[in-house]
Amino acid sequence: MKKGLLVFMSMMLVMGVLAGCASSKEGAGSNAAKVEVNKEGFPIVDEKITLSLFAPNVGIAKWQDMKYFQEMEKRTNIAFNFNTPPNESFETQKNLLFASNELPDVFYAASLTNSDVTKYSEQGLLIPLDDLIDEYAPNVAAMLEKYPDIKKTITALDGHIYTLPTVNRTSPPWNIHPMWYNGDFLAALNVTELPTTTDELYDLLVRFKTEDPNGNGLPDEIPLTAAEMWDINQWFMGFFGVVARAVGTYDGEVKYGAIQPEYKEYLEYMNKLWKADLFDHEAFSQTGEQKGAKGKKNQVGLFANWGAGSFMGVEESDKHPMMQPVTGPNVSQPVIPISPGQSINQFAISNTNKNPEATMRWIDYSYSPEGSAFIKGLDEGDLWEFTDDTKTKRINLKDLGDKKGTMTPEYGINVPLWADEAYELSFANEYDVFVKNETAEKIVKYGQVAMPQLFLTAEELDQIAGINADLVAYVEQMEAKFITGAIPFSEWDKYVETANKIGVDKVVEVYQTAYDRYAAN
Amino acid sequence: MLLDTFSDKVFKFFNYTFLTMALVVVLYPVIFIVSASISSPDLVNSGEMWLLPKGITFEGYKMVFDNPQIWNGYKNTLIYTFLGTSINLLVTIPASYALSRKDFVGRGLITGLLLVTMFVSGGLIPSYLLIKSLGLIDTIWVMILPGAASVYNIIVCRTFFQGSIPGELEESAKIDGASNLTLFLKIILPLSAPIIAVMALFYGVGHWNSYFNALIYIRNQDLYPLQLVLRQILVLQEMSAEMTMDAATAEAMQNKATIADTVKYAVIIVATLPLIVIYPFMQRFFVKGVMIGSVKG
Amino acid sequence: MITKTRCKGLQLIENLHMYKHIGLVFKLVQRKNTQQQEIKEVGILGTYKEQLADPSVAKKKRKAYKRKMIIQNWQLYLFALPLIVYIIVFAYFPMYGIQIAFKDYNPVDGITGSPWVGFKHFERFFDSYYFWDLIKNTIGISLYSLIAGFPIPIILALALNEAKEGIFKKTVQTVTYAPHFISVVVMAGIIITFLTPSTGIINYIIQAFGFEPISFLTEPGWFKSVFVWSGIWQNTGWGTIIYLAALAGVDPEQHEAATIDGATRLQRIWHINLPAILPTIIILLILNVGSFLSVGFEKILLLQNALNMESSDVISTFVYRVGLVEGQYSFGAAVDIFNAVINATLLITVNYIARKKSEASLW
Repeated sequence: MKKGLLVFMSMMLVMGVLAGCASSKEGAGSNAAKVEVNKEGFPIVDEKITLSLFAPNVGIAKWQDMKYFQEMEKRTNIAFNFNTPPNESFETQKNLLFASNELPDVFYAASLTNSDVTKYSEQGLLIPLDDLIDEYAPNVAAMLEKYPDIKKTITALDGHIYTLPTVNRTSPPWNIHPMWYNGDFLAALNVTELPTTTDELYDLLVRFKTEDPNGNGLPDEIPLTAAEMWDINQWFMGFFGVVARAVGTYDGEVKYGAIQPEYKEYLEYMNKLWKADLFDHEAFSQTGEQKGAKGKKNQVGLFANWGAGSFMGVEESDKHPMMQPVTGPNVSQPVIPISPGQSINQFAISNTNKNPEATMRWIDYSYSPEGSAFIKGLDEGDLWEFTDDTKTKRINLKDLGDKKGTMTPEYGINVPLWADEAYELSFANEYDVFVKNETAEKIVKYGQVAMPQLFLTAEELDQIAGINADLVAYVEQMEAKFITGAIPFSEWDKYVETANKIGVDKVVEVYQTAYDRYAAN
Repeated sequence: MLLDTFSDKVFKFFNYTFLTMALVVVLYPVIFIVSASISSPDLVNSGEMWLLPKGITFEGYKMVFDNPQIWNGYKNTLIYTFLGTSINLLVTIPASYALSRKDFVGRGLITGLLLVTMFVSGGLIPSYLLIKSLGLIDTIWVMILPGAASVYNIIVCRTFFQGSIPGELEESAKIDGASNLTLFLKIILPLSAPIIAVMALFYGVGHWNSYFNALIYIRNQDLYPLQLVLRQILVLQEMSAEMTMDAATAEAMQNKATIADTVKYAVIIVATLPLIVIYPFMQRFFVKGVMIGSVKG
Repeated sequence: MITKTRCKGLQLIENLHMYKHIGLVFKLVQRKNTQQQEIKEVGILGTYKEQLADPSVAKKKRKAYKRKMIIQNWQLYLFALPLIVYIIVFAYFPMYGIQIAFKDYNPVDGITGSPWVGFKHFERFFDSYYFWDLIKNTIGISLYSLIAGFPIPIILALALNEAKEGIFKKTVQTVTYAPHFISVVVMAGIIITFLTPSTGIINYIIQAFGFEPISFLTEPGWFKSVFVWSGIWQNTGWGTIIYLAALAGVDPEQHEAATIDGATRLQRIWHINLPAILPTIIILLILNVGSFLSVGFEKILLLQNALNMESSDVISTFVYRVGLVEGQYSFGAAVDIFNAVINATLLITVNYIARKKSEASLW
């Protein structure tokens, strides 16, 4: 029996290898031959073409049913075959497309990684866009001219541009949801000046705890809550001058945040809050919903969320101020990480695309003011309406729910576009203005991009491949243990030593090289 | 039946106590889910709803029933489950029976081949290439054929045949000149009601709950099974800190989270009810003595 | 229901009447459980075994016998054919994919074209800072699940089997079966809700008895218990199904005979019911051991947090984490092979023991 099995298995192996070699080279979906492109205006092509498009689906509607694509087809004469797997399996599907050689003509909102881009551009699977941008994409070209940092970021190691980003420089540049005070608590305690130092913050949190600011007579206040540390740590580390827990840049020098002495100060401070029961003892185990339930019961004084109102279950308003970053004892001012204002690698054209010029013109529309407004809000009456006769002010329709997700792909994913400032501002209500001002004063003033999105070479990636996963897990565990006191601070040196053993040096070295390469460009 | 002795009475007492305890331990969370499905999500999350519904709302059920994708998914899942289980049984029962026969030359080799597949698999990529070249992508067959049999179930089924069907039945049938097919159809199958019921249940529930193949191989949303539709509602994308989130995206995420929170428990009930309802009907196949009883009439 | 069973019985009798030896069948069925061993020695195989007594002719005879059996049982091959085709196509054909464990797989070059790298991925796994923690936790959780979780469905099945048919039994059966269908995401949510120190029901109960609330989810020492017992809670009722089916095959006459002989109920369970389901128990045990290292990652991931990670991190969650950071296929395949080797070794060992000590085994 054993012999039979062996023979059988080797037979299968041979068959498999043969099958692997013979794997066919067929392009999928694109049925269009090359056609003439109109250099200006609509339609883009006189003869209708159909391209295949690959994008993630958030599960609300089929893309072919969306008004956006139907309208765009009418205007441009470009139609699509959609391959839109669920967001959840999108990464896997992306790899399988490359593995089975059924490349789509267009990668849309596909969040390719920089290593994808390096790998596949080397193989010629993605085509360079530079010339196409110059010839067929005036809006993209204008965007790149306006923001040279974007051009620098999306230029691959070989000097070409293979992908386009989602650019949004008008929304608040939050890297993560900001922190807010419960305005009712502040009012109840007659707090008019927000704390500006870590010590003042401590005192305020003590008052939240002891002076019954929600007025229900019960000591049920939770001064500060979180659902796992990532929820709030970007802010609290920043108070002590640490811009990122992992690699970050400090005046051009790359450092690993979690082994710096400033980071230790952050841990000690959090530990102090923990010991005084000012920091929610369920912070490490509770779900986001449980955290939210505490907010809605008006128990929490300081928290992170996209908006204070939605956390507390009330209307968003200027009653609840954004947290004023506080300054640690050993820094002159805090640092708050901000978003670079773009999400890279959201659009690419593959080598199966027979009409890259037309495709480029099609996507360029999303980088124009009308085009980005159209994909974000379609026409008047669909999702919004004008509020004045001069047609400069817009307001969202009531009770939209998920409706936007049934009309346009720009819902829950980063679609390639350049957000237009005038359009965004036309929606601005009082609250938006409040948030914009708060952001300017409390985030942008102290803001820094922790690390630009860098292209790493294949060798560099390989060098840190095993290290990163272990390192992040180790640092995260130890952060929690130091804060909760499960491990005393006398173990700090041992912690740094272990982190070094896992490979902090290697990671810092690789990123320093890549950063220098980026900065020299 | 003789009268119960004292020790039997004691036994009975402890047995029923044990069963009652088991019932209570499991019943509480089941009631919790039912209550949670018609309670306000905030009260559930804050722990204020702990047994009976609080802040009663049928919003969750309304959302479920209003969602055409869920109903379409229901329909698909019914088809996949029915068709898939039929094929599973057609493959599993005869093959397990053959493998249970001591006079089946080659059973060792085949069993060995089966066991190897429990440990060694080629992985996702070759499977994908295979399924693509078979032309199964985006067809209902991809939900049925790649899972046409489970080695685990076949071994369980084979064990049942070995233990419960006396080999002598086969011998006497052979002496009478009956073919294996006649033997199988006329004698073995009627004796195997319990294991067929178990297999139908195991495979059926497997199909009912499966979503992975759909996640990878089905692109046409009209073919999504129920579980995939529900997953799209319930599983929130992990928010990555590096992601640029503009207000609109954040709003979308928050919308989704609220919806997921509202329908979470209603969805369990709607998706599970059919499986719960059929179980009492299956139970009659597990009544003691059913097999022997059927032989003796 | 009784009449239905009767009808079926009658139908079966008609079928059996087609054969002259029906009396023999009945007798054999009745004696099945008590004298199975003895009977097994007679019959078709019996004559064959006698022939084997002479080793010089044994080989020849065996071949001749085999050939005869193959011809005689040709229909059995048709029975197994769909299964064989299925495993060849869907299991064996893709197996060439194993080689990516020894390669740096990249989609463009494909499985066969990617460069060989030897044991690089295995080394990376073994060199991981967490390797021994992962092994320790995986074994810990598996062993705990097996020891605590394996016997309970057997006990529940035996107990249910002793309960009188009726509403109560059906209710217990159906209610215990229901939680099996709660999806992992929701299950994890319920566990966290129940165990929360401030508002969870479990901690209310603990406090009602005057104890301090316990942070089940953040104390590493509690993680395995939470994971295992919630699994038992969810799957015990489901696990009884197969045993209940096996118990359905026990002849009530045996119980009657034993009762007349003065056996108590406990004795009858021990000497009649348990032996009847023993083969099933052994086979399931072997199969469970054969998936020893394959602890699923989804539920663990959902219950994991930075504080309990030292006891909750297992091989599958590690692979998932690495996969998030970079392309996971080759690395994942290498870990799969590692798991498979250990699992297969365990399975072979347990099967060997089972074969020595009992009648039931996989081969």
